[in-house]
Parts: sequence; C-alpha cells; structure tokens
Amino acid sequence: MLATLGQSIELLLRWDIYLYISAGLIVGMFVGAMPGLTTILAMAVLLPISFKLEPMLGIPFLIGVYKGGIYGGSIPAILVGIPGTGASIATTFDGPPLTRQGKGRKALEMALFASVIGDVLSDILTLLLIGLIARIILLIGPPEVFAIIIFSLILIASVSGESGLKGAIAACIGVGLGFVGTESVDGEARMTFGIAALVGGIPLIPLVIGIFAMPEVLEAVESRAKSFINEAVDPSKSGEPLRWHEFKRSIRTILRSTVIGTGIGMVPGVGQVVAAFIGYSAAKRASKHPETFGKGELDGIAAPEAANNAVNGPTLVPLLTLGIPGDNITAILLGAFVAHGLRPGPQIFNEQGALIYAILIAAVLANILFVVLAYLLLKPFAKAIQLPKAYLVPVILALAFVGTLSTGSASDLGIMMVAGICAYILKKLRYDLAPLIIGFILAEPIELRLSQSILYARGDNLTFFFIERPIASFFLLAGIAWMVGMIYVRYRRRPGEAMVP
Amino acid sequence: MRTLRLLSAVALAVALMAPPAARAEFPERPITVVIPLGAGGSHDLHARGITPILSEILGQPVVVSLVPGGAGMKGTTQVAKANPDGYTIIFTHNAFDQLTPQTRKVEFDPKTAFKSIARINANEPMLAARAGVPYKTLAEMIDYAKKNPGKVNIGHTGVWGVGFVPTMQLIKAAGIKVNIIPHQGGGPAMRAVLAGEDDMTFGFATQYRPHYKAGKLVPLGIAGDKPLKDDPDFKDVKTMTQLGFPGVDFTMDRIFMAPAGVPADRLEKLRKAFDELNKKPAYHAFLKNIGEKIDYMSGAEYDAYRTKRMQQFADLIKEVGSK
Repeated sequence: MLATLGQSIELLLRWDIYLYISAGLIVGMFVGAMPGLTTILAMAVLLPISFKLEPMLGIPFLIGVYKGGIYGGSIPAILVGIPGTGASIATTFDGPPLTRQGKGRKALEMALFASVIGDVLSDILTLLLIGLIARIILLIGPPEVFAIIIFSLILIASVSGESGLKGAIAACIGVGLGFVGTESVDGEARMTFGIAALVGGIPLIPLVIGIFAMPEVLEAVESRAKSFINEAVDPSKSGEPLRWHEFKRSIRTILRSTVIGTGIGMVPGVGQVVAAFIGYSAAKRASKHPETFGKGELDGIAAPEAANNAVNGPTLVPLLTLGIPGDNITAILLGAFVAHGLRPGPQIFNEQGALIYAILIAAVLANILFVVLAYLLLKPFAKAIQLPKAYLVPVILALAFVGTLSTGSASDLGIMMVAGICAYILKKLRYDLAPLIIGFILAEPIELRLSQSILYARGDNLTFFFIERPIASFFLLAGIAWMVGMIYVRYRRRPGEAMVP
Repeated sequence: MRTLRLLSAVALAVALMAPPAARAEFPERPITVVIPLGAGGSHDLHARGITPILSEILGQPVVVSLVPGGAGMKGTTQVAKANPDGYTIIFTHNAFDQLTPQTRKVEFDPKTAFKSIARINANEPMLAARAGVPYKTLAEMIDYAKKNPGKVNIGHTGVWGVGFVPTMQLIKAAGIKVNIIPHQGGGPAMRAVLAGEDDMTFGFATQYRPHYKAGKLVPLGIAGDKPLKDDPDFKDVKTMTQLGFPGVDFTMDRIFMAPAGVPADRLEKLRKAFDELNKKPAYHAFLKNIGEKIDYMSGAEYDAYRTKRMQQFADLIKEVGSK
C-alpha cells in the first residue's frame, strides 16, 4: 500500500497535470454557470480530447470539468435564482436574498469554500473507507432507494417556503409532471395528449429554465427598482468579500453537511439533488435562528453546497470497484477510463493501483487549485449583478432562450414558456417551486424503484419493505414520524404563527 | 458612385444566381450523429472513437447528439422525420430499429423510414448467474427453477431491450416460472446481480470480464450458436444451441442509418466513408481498447439482412408477447 502510494506521488510530480486540471475547472465553471448548458454535455463534448491525452492528464482534466461545472451551477442560483444544475436548486433559497442585500460576493465565496471542503473531506473519507462503502452500496437496492426518496421528498416539502402543505402540493404537482411521457418499466407513452414532443417526457432543461428564470424575469420587470440589489444597501458595502468570522460560524454546518452528503452519495442516481436539500433542512433544524433561513442566511448557502459536493466521493466507488457507473457523469468517466485501457472493476486496485490512487489524489488536489482560480474569477460575476436591471434582464432572458435551444428543439421553447407562466402564477400564490422540480426529477426513480420492489416482494409488500429490508423500513418509518411531527407542531401553534418544522 | 452601385448589384445577382457548383460536394457542413441512448453507454463510447476518424475521412466535423428517452423512440423519430439531406444520421441498435417500433404506435414506418450505412459490430448476450447460487450449469438452473417456481430472479435491461428478448425466449423454451425484474440498462442489471438481488441476467462479455475473473459470476450460456472462440476468458462457454435451446437467439447489431430519402450519391459517400473507416488502424486500436470486436457489414448488405430480421422480429413479438 505504502509503496503504491509512493509510486502515485511520483506520477503526480508533473506540472502539466495541474495545467490541464485548471483548464478543465475553468471550462466547467463557465459551462455550469450558463443555464441550459449542463456539465454532462460539456464532459461529453470534451471526452474525445481526453482520449488523445495520456490517462494521467485526460482523466483529471475531465474531473476538473465536472468539479468546475457543479460549482458553476451555483453562480446563477445565488445571483439571480436560476439553478445552473439540479444540484444547486437548494441554493436558490438563500442566494438571491443575500444578493439583494448586497452580499452576493460573500455568498459566492461561502459556496466556494463549502463546496471545496465538502468535496475534499468526502474524497478523503472515501479513500479511507472504500472497502466499507463498496459493501454498503451493494446493500442499497430498489426498496432502499425508494424509501430514501420518499423520506427526502417529505423532508424537502417540509422545509421549503412558509407552509409545509404548499410544499407538499408543489412536490405532488412535480411528481405528476414527471409521469408524463414514456413509462419507465413497460415503455408505454401516457398522458402525452397526443403531443409528439412529450413522448419522451417533459424535458428537464426547459422546465428548470422556465420555472426558475421566467418568474424571476417577470418579477424583475414588475418591481420598478433599477437594480437587483436593494436600494437601501450602501453601494460601497456591496461586493464585499466574505470575512473570517462569518465563515467560522458555518464550519459546523459544513461538517454536518459533509457527513450527510457522503452518506447520500451511496444512493445511486439521486445523490446530489437530495443531499443538498437534506443538508439544508438539517442546518435549518440545528440553527438557533431558523427563521432567518430563506431570507438571506449564509448558513443556508454553506449547507446545500457542502452536501452536494460531498456526494462526489462515494459516487466514484461503484465505478471503481464494480465498473458500474452510478450516474451519467461517472458513466462518462468510465468511458475515459476504458478508452485508456483501464477497466474499472474488482481488480483495478491490484492491477493499476498506483495510477488509480494518483488520479484520486489529483481529484483532491483539483479542489485546492479551484479555490485559487475561482476566488480570482468570482469578482466579475459578483460585479455583473450590480449592473442596472435594464441591461441584466434582457441578457438573462436571452440566455434562457439560448440555453433552452442549445440542447433541445423548438418545441422546448414552448415548454419553457408554458412552464414559466404557470410558475409565475404559482409563485404569486406563494407556492415554493423547488419541491416541484425535485418531485419532477424524482418521479421516474420513484416509479421504477417501486415497481422493481413489488416484483422482488412477490406479492407480500408489507413483509418485504418493513421486515426483510430493515434499511428501507427505517426510512419509511422516519418519513411517517416526520409527517406526524409536522402536523403536531402545526396544530399546537395557532395558525398565522411562523411554523418551524 | 452610380457605377459602383450598379457593379455591386450585378455582383450580388451573380453571386445569388451562381449554381451551387462549389457546394455540390457533399458534405459541406458538419454532420450530426443522433444516438437514441444516454451518455456513457456502449454506443456513446463507440461513437467517441468513431467520429474523430470519420471527420478526417469526410473532411467535415461529425458531431454526436444524445437523444435518449421513450424507449429509444424519441431520437429514432427525430431522425426518421429529419430533412433527408445526409447531414443527420443515427447510430442505434437493432432492437430500437427493428423491434421496438413494431411493439407500439410510432410516427414513422420502421420498414421504409431508414437506409443502412453500416453495421459496426454485433454481440450475443450471455446468461450469467452470481456466484453462490445452488447451480453451476443451465440444466441445473432450469431444474432448480422448476422445483422452486417463482423463486429465481432474472434481471433484464428493460422491456424489449437487448437483454429482454433472450430472457423471454429462455423462459418459454424451458417452461420455467421465474421472477422477471426490469432495469434501466446493462449497468444497473449487473449491479443487481452482484448485490445478490437478482440471480442472473443476460449481458455482454466485456462487462462480465472483471467480475468473472474475481470469481463473482458463473456463465451459463451464450445466446445463439456462435461460441466466443477467440475470447481468453469465455471461449469454453457453451451456446444456447449447444445446450439444447436453439430458440434462444438474439444478436445486438450496432448500426449507423440515414433517413430513407437521402440522395443516392450522398448515401454512397457515407457508406464509402465507413468502408474506409473499417480499414483504419486507429479505429481497430480503439475497439481493442474498449474490448469490442469488429463484425463489419456494409450498408447494402445490412439493408437486405434487416428486411429479413424485421419479419423474424414480428413473429418473435407474437411468440414472446403471448403468455
């Protein structure tokens, strides 16, 4: 082991590795920051480039694109409330309020530090516990995934917005929209109303852009303020960097979210999105002043950002130990490994140990590089938001259209606009839109995992879920307990009082 | 001034009226390859190696566009309805092309919507069980399943997918009652076997290799009648025909197709480009790296083969669909 590590470190003593990682990080960050351009797309486009490089350059380059992209998605989430990726939806709770208070730069920097710390700690935990995590991953089958998703949905609905009930309604609308299109088991089209564009389901990107960008733009036009930043804010104070004492207060939150994220990273497919929300709700619960969450709380940035990045470590485990990618991003990484003649699987650590450890260490070092690069690159983003709305709103609107068209067809524009107008109405009725989109994303895994579980249960569902699969049973019961608790709290406090779940 | 204006008008008119002589040479802009499957799968992987070499041969960029969803029908419909100018082609497999469209309502006629450009290669799926099951051969498995009806879990890659057909053929031919579990693709189906949730599945040799070497898998039989003679690990695995189940027969063809209305000269050019691709050492090196073989078939050959297969699939659907 030590000899292998020594060889790995030798492999890392080359400056060009860091050059390629930096290039990947910067490209990833800009792509992630554009609504509609996804990290997955960027990685798929850049994959051939990595084929031409040797593995010690090509794979860290792709990992750089990935890490940069995940963070890049948080930039528009914080500044204008448009999540660049699904993982940054929870960041839209506290990001835009902070921006309006002139603390946009502080929020961007908090997101950066929380992301990097969450990622590094989870990578180290993963490296140390890879054998154990590999075993746990095999224990999480369809019934466990189903139970964890249901538990997360209950949690997500309960923390968002002013009323858990409205959150739950939004989540259910989302799940319903997610069922439109081709059914996940038998592949029959349903609820498409004969519209050809809906046969493959409602596409995610136009929906996310419509739901988050359109109401934001309409509201910006509606309010007559000249700038996104409140006029009451002293302009000389806006754009200030994050101070140490502000960061120090969030360290506990970051560590908590890291543990949560690393745990959820073992659940295939739904990791980042769910982790961010659970990290957020745990931070809100643990906080001494939960009422400030959603109104511009730096802890509310740190929590989801640390949690969604902490997912990264464990998602690499099924790829490396089984050769089976857990999500699209690791699937592309598998492509890069295989094209270089590295076949991830049970024996890769024996056959190619030095190279694999070197790549993993490079992934950790990428974070440190990223702190420096992103810190330098953040300023212009934070500055841009100070421009008058008259310039910003058209740019955002144009980006929303370009982003939708860049990966889709003309029918996607229609979907975006319909979603946007509906979202605007829902927002006026004080519905929170984040549970809607989460419900939409999770609808397919809910259906697939439930169908699979029922087949495994062979007709005896209760025994299967609650006795044969103790992990699934734990999460289902915890979800029920949480709901009962919420209802209890709601009825004990008089209506009208702020409800804190 | 006036002369200048006149001259420029004449120049413009000439430019507009000039026959597109320089443009006649196909291709004069980038070609899009639609893949009706998700990122990182085996088609995506193949395409990443093929498109750069193809770009060199055709002298234009060849861009991959992933359009998964709708059991492969979303991307397939998109290409079937695309302008047949040769700039939009599809990289798919025979289940999506010849089987799935016959099982549901689609907006194109699968028999006439496409012309083949080339078949890259073909794989026969192999049935493998997890280590630790109380059987080591296909006959023992069937025996066990008959004694324990409904106890054996067989995973597959999705309804009418590549792993689904041989599963259903085997169950029918052997007359066994088992629990059939759907997954979304080969990776998840493999995980379920390794986790002990499923007892067996149909998958491919490249995917099985590391787990087989680690002693986690027991190969039971290969669909069809062609043993993997050149394979270092699986050369002794018997075929379903050898094992007495000639009806368990499915091959996945990886194929490039164009919408049927493509002008003959352009189709010819694309087919020639693939003939040339197949001669390139860089292409062979790439396939070796990803552990895939070459079973090249030219577009014209595959078109003839495809018509025959389509009828066979129609019979298959009737056979498998009737319970």
